[in-house]
Amino acid sequence: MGDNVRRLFGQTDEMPDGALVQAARDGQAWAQEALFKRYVRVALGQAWRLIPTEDPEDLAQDALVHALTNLHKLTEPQAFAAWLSSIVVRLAMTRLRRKHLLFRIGLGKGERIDPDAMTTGLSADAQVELREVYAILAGLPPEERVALVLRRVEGMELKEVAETMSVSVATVKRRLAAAEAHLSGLAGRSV
Amino acid sequence: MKRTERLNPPLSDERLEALWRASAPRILVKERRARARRLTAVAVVVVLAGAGTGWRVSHPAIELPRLAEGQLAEGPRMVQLADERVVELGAEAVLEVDAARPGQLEVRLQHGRARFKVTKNRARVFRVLAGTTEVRVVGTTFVVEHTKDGVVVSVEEGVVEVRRGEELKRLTRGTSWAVTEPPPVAHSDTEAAEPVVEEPESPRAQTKAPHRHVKRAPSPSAPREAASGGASTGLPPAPEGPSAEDLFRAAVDARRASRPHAAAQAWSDFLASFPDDPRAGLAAFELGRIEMDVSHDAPGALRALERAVALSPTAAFTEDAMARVVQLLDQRHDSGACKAARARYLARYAQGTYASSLSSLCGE
Repeated sequence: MGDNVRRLFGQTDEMPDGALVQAARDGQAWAQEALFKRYVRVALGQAWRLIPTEDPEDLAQDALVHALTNLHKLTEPQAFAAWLSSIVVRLAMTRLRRKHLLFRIGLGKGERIDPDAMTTGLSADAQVELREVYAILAGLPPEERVALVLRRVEGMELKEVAETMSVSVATVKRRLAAAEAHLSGLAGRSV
Repeated sequence: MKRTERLNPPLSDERLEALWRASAPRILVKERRARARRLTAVAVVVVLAGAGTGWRVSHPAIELPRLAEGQLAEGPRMVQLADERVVELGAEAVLEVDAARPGQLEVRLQHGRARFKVTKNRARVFRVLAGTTEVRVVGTTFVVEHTKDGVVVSVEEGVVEVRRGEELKRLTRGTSWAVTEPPPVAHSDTEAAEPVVEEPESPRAQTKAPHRHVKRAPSPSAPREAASGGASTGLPPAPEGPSAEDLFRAAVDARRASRPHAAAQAWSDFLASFPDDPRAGLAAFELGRIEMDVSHDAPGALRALERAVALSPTAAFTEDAMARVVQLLDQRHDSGACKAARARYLARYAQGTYASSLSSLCGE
C-alpha cells in the first residue's frame, strides 16, 4: 500500500499527514522519515518554548520517536500534529515536574536561557525581556507554566490547550488564573 | 500545532538529518520490542490455552450422579437433578424425585438436611416437599432440614415461597422459617428412626385414633386377616398379617428400589386395609401417580387421585393431584367433567402452578 500511496502523491512533501501515517503504520520507513522531518522543527520549537533549559532537541526527538512507534494508538491519522503536540507537552510536563521537585529539595539548578539559541533577529531589549520572562516562568508550578505557555506563547485556544494537556477547559482556566496571579506576584517582587 | 515564527530555534538541514539518523534506529528497536511483546503475549495465551485444555483432558469434570423421576438418593453426597440443579445431601438425608417433567420438577426430602442450588428456569417449576411443608423456588440457594420435630427452611440467596396447608410465607435472603410438624403417628423405635411422610390435615385423620389401632378393612392381599380374630376370648383381636407400618414401609422400599408395580400393590393394600389411616391420602396420591405415569391405567389413576384429594384436601400434594385429575379427564375427552375439575382447581389455586397449562385443556 505504501508504495502505491507514494506513487499517487509523487513527493512525500505533498502527501497529507493521514496518508503518511497510514504508510508509516504499514511499516514504510520512508513515511516515518517524512513525518519526522516534517514535524521535528515544530516539536523542537514547542519543546524550547515550554522548557528551554532541558535540552529541547532531546525532548523533541523523544516525542517523535514515541509518536512514530505508537501510531496504532492514533485514532485520526490526519490529526497527527495535534497528537504530537500533546506528546511534547506530556514529556515536557514530566521533565518540568522532575526539575521542580529537584529545585524544591535544593538539588535543582536555576534556569539560564540563551535567547540567541532559540531565534534570530531579536533586539537586545527583547532578549533581556525574554530572559526575565523565563526566569519568572521557572518559579511557576509545571501545570501552570505549561498552560500559560500554550495559551500566551503558542497562542492556542482554551479548548486546544485543554485537549493538548488532556484536562477540561475549566481546569485550564483555573490554571491560567493561578499562573497569572503567580506571575504578577513574582513580577512585582522582581521589580 | 501553531507555528510561532519568532520563537522557533534554528535547526539546520544537516542537524535535522543527524537527528533522524539518531532516531531511526531507536524507532526500529522500539518497533521490534513491541512486536516481540505482542508475540510473547500471543505465545503465553496459546500456552495457557493448551495447558488448560490438557488439564481438562487429564482432569475431566466430576460428573455428579443425576437423579431421574422415582429415584432416590441418600446422603452424605451431592447429586444433580434435571436442569443442572445441584443438591448437597447431609448425612442421613434421604431425597426422592417425585416428578421430573418438562414443566415441573418435584423432590421430596424424606428426612435430613439438604442444600439446594437452583438455577433460574421460569419454564419449570421446582418444588421441594418435606413432610407437610412445600418449598416453591424460581432460582436461589437454600437449605431444607427435615427432622422428626419439623422442617426448617433457610434461604442463602434469592427468594422462596414456603407453603404449609393454607399458610404461605415468602422467604428472602438470610431469613429462615421453622415449621413444627405434628407429632409422628409411628410409635416403634424403627419408625422414629426413619420418619415417613404423613398427612395430618385430613379432617378424618384428625378425629381418628392413631393409625396403628384403627380398624382394618379386609385386605385382598391378606385374606387371612378376615378369618382370624379373638372375639370368642373377649379380647381385642390380635393383629395379624402386615401392619399399616409394614405396608407403608414396603411401599416406600419398593419405590426406592425402583419397583413401581410392587409399590403400587403395597399402596393399594395399604388403602384397602387402612382406609382411615392419616396417611391414606398420601398413599392414594402415590398410587395414582404410579397408575398414571407407569401403568398408564387412566381409570385407576383417576380413582386414586380423586380419593387422594378427598382424603387430604389441604395437603402439599393436593394441587398436583387435582391438576392430574384434570389431565386425565382431558385425555378421556370428557370435557364436561374436565371443565368442572379445572374449575375446582382454579377455585383453590387461582395462581397455582398449573393454572396456565390447564387452561389449554378440556377441548379449548
